[in-house]
Amino acid sequence: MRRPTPVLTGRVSGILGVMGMALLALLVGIAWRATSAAWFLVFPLLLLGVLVAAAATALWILRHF
Amino acid sequence: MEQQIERSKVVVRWIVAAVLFAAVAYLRTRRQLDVSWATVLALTATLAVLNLAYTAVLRRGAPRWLKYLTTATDLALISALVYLTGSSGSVFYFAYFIVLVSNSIRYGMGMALYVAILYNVAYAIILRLRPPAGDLTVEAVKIFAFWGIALYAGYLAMRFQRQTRILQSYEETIARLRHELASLKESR
Repeated sequence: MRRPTPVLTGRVSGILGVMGMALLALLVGIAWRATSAAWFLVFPLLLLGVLVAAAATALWILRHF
Repeated sequence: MEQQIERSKVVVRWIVAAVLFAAVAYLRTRRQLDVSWATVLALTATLAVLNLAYTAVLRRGAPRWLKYLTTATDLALISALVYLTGSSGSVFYFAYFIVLVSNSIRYGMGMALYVAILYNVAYAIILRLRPPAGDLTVEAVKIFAFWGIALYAGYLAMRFQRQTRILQSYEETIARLRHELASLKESR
């Protein structure tokens, strides 16, 4: 029987991890330096992006896939 | 199940509305709030009309969209109250947490994220319309704290839901075994 193709490879999870770190840095940067509260409107996108990236990386580290 | 939950939310909404109305009235008479009676009454009337409408809808059942609508209107009304009573310095800011915790515990992680997103957008708009006197970083930290509580409440609700499902399956197994045992005794 053929082994199913892995959903999350090391390469993909590595890219997601780097993207997550970049989003986190952006989030902290906005919180620290924002001059207008309108910037806070992007928080949900950035936070969800960070969470998804963190979850994917954690699942790959735990060899869930 | 959802019908039951939404019905209990209607009752809680009446109680919270009465408490908030009393608090606004008290602070206004002591001249600590600069809100007109017309505005206060308009907000209260809007909430009362919405709550009556939800009661009418819930007589027939609970559509899937209802929980999202009731949560959104609750957050919109609280945002209006927060905006009118001092924006970031409003004493009614805590009311957001009532909506967050009550909905997250009842509906789980999905609803916790929904509440956090709506709160984030609403609070950012409030801050944009009436900027705070101090640093915006403090407000960003408040938003992060809300997200943290939302995720934690959602996680706890997930665990609770899982344990409830396990307990339910145990109860079903026990009931089945009892039935099998009884039928075995009868056959002897």
